[in-house]
Amino acid sequence: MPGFKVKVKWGKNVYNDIELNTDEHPLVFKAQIFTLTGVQPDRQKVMLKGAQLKDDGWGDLPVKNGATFLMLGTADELALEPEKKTVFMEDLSEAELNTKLDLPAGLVNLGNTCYMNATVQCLKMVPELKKSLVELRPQGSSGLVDSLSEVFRSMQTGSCVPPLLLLGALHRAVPRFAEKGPNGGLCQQDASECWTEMVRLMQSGLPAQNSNKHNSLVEQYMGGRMSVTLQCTESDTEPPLVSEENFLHLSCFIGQETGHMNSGLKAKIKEQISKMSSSLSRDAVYTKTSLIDRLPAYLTVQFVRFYYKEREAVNAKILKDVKFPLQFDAWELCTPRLQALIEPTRAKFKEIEDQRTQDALEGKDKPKPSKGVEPMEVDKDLEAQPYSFTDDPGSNNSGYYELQAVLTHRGRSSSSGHYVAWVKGDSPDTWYKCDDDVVSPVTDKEILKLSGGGDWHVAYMLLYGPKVLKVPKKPAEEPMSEN
Amino acid sequence: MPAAEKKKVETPAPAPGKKVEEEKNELSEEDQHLQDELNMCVERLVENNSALYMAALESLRTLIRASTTSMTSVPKPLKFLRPHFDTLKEVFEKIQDPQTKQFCADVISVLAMTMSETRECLKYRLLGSEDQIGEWGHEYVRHLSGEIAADWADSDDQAHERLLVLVRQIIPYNMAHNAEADACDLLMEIEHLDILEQFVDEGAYHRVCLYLTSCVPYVPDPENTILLETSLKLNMKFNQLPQAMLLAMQLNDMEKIRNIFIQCTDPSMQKQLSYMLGRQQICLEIDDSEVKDSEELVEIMSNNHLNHHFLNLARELDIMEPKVPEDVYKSHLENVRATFGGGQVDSARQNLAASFVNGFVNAGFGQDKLLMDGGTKWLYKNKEHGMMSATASLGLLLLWDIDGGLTPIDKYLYSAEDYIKSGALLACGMVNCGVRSECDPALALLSDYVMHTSNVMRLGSILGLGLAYAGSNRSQVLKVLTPVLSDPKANMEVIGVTGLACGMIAVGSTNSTVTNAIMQTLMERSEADLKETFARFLPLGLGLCYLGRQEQADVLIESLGVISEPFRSMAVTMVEVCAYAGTGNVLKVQKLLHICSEHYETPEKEEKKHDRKGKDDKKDDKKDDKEDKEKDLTARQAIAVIGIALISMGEDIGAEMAYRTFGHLLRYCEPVIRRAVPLALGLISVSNPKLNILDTLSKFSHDSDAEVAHNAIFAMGMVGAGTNNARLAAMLRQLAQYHAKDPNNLFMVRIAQGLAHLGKGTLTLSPYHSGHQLMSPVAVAGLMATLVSFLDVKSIILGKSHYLLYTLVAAMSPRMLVTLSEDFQPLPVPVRVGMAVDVVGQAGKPKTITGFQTHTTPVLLAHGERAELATEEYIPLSPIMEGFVVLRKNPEYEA
Repeated sequence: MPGFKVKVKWGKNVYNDIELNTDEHPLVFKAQIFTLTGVQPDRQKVMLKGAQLKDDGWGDLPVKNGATFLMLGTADELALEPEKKTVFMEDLSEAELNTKLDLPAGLVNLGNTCYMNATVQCLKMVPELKKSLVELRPQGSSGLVDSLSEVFRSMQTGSCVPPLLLLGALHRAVPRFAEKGPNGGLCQQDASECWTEMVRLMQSGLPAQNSNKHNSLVEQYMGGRMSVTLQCTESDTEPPLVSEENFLHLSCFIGQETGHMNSGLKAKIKEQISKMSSSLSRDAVYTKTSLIDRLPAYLTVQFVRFYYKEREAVNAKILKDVKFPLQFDAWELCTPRLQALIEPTRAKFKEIEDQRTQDALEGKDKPKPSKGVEPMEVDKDLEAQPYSFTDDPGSNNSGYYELQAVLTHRGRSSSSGHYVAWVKGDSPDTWYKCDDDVVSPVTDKEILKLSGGGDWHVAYMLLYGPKVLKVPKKPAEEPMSEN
Repeated sequence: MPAAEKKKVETPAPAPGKKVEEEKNELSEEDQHLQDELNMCVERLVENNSALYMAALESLRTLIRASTTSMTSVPKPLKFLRPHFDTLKEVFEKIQDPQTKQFCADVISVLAMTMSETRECLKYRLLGSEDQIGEWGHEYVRHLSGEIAADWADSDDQAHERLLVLVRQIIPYNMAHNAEADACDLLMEIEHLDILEQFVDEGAYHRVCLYLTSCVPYVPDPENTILLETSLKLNMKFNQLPQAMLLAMQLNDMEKIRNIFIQCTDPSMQKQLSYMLGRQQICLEIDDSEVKDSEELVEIMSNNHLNHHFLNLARELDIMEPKVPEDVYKSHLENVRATFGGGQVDSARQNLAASFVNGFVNAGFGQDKLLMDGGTKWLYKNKEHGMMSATASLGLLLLWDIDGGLTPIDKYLYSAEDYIKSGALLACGMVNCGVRSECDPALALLSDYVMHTSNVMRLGSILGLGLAYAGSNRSQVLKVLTPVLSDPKANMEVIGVTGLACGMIAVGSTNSTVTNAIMQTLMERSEADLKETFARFLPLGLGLCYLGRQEQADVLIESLGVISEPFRSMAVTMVEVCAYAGTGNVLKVQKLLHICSEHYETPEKEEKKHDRKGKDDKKDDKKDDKEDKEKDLTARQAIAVIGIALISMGEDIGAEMAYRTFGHLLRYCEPVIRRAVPLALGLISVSNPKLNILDTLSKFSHDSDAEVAHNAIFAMGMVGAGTNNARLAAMLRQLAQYHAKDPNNLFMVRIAQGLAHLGKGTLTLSPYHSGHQLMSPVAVAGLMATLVSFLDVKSIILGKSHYLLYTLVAAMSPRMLVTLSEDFQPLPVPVRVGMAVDVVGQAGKPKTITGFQTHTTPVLLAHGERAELATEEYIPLSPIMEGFVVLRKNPEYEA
């Protein structure tokens, strides 16, 4: 009678004294184990001394009294293939990869055209401009605006774009950019000039949106107004002469003392000039005070890094280290009138900030996440407030700015060297370095390193965008439309 | 070490006449007196009155003995007698009375110590009265030993008999005077170590054995074996079973091991011996008729407890919390934002790296955050072969846990994906690595898939079997595997891995079933097959069979002659280096260096071919043949480089010399050698992050030759494996930054980071254990398998066969000290852990550790550290405080 008493081991559990009869089908034994362990017989692997129990019979398993069987198997769900296949970067083409990684598209260098590429990359950082350019209906003409809009459209697909049409249009519009060097190639040009020209050309091509104050979109979003007061220092009686000037960028002059962008900009507020005085009927010294009366949503700051050296006939560069902030406050540059206007929004900013510090102090805030993923989630229950005055879309209502793009120059003169654009990414402290067709992610630390002082890339043009006020979402409130 | 080279005291020949006068004038009064007395004695001897001879000699002897010797100068009486040496020899000739003649011979013998270049000391000693040899002082005995050793080689058997008489006097003298080393030297010199046993007493045997074993790496074979055997006999004589067991294991002599084990009757000692056998992964087949409680002991030997104690240690150290790869990468400390992945897209290569790292870091802990928690999600974040490796990493996580470990893997065996199934099979094998179960689950589960139709499934199951039964030499398993070798359907990868698996199972056993099967395959397969990269594992399998077997491998090497040339020289070198693994045999190292120094005429062309391989159509058959030949010969050079490390890794001086040689090889040799050197550097210092080696490797991790860089980075991981070394971690982070845009190098950096934190810093890959004395063949097999696959890093590790990295599992073991009470329970006691001090040849009871700290067991031991009990309450049963040590209550202890 082939009946045995055996042990069955399942994981850490041992079941002693199990009746086993080799005359019966192995499934009977497995069923017995099932009652003990809850593992279905077809999921059981029963083994003894290096051999597995087959369902068709006991074979030559050395069954004896007291033998220990080992049973493997779980009642768990089986491993299922996920529905969505993982996409691997190794399988993607470069263009697909760029879209996946959300890298901005690069622009091919057509022979010393890095100045133009860098400018285009920076201008792309003005969302309104980009949007209207992309949505612009092609007019069939080959003007600069059209070709720029074409370039922006093709850049959206994520692949690298050779801006051939744009270059042609630029050369037609500004013939001096078509200058050829001694060996027939195109010459390097000053990116700042290119920037100015492009912005100027766009002024006529793009109409303003939702606003009757401005003639063009460029003026609406990028143009500011300066209130200039001329006060004669030599005459107390002469009334100050007040005039208004429109500007598309602020210049930061670099003097001996300038170590920071703010001081460079402030130096421009008060200037001493000599001018023919109508009351004194002679040249007299005037104090010129230029204060901003309208802050544009997108503020361009140009570092006046190049000066013309007559002897060598080149635009030589000032390599001096001038720091610039990632967050810029224009308060000190504003007229009292504007200061009064922006005060309420600033108060709100402060309120939010205080609230946050308070929360952090009280430990209400969740522990600081280690990765950059969670702040975005926190942002989800916040709501962005418009950054413009309601009566003046395209202006800045707080004076607070955030750095959006940096155009850098590397080299010793404006018509040589290399221009690169560094643009801000969507997630916090992500930046992209757009070196012609090569786009690579960098950190904001590297951006701050662009302040100059050596032969590394040196910031030349900065583009600041508005700092957006975010308040906790009130469920009932309707989201306000910006444009 | 022969005493013959002991420096002779150089003194200018005494100048007669005036100069002597001058010298006399400088002498002090006391010396003058001594000289006069000596001169008088000599004069007496010269005179013909034979009655006075005895008295004169007597006083000479007294004067000589009375002098105090110092290390730096010749004793005064001897110095003053120098001019009379020849006179005395004449006197000896003329003396008739035998007793006086002998007496005179004694005095001349002593004098000859400072005088003669010929062996007159010995000559006159043999002529002299055979009285107490020690009477003339220690220096005399040493000198005499030296002359005996020198004379031994030149004389016949009859003379040997006479010399042996002297030797039998010298040895006891040495033993009694703290000069055990000298005694051993003399006996080694005359090759009569068998005499030693009769003269060693309880107090000296320990130092004698220590000295003998420390000499082992410096003597050629077969003398090293004799040394070990002598030492073993001595230990047996004084009933020191643990030491004897260690030596028997070092000899790899199963019969001796068995005898020692059966001879032991003390149940606690039996347990201790079983633990030691388990560490070396030797499992004796014993039953109750031979030893009581055999079942319990076999359980210890099969390492069933390992997982339990390891987890205990982990809980004690509070490191149970699983780590994710990011915890090890610490990429927030890197300055660059990773270009790859960036969170949005999965990089198959980086995910694969993460799978490995996750496995390495959490190895043995049984829990992690990627695989066990995340279910199958993570597996599908890997691609094809990557899935296999990712699934197999479960085996690492559940390492040694045969009870609970197989169940979590089981469900993957039902997957629809072949890669996952194959990985699960490999994982099953890994769980059983180094641990044995009477149910043999690995064999039961895996053997069905060995002949599977899918090659992928075969790979997983075959390598799994190889790992699970590594070192067991189980014929049952080999019977399943060997048919694969002759299976015409199998591709070279399957064949190669089978050869490797067989080699690992039969490691060091000289199992002819395996060698015959592999030889058969080598002969049957076409030349084109043997050119495939996986063919290299076949000779490795052969070599592993003869691991550490030294000259026994000669027959096999002879029979390799039948294979056609390009492959033959590689195979021969492979078997040879394996046979001498860890012996420190200098002659073999020289031979290997010779192989490396060969330059082939067209290295550039060869290089080009290497790059164009595959694309190249057959242009010119003749030329192609020539180039092929060269290529294969360079494969031999690569093996030779690793061989140098493999042979010399056992002892420090050899390793140091190898390190220097590698510097030259790196600078001057062919690319193929340069690529192998980083691996060899890794091998000489496994799990021992020496700064000089790390620095060299770090330099080559930036090399312009990509393969040198890959290998150097991996070697850094090996050198720091399981140490959590902060400096290495910083180096690797910096490398991750440097190679951020190179996915292959970044992969290597990640693997190295994972290795550096192997088992969260509790495991070691070092094949040496038990006080760096014993080499674990299984561990060497694992390391060699990995290194050989790195010889073609591009197509194996960075290709589709990264699962071969798991061969490292065989080398993994916890570097812990666990103390157990006699009834198996963990027993926390205070121990001092410090750097080991070399105490070979030191008299008395020297301190064995320095700079120690006191901890409570269980503790971790770093490389080169030693532990000793800090309490008198217990006596350890093993002299080597490593791994598992059974403690016995000290009967004399009073609290």
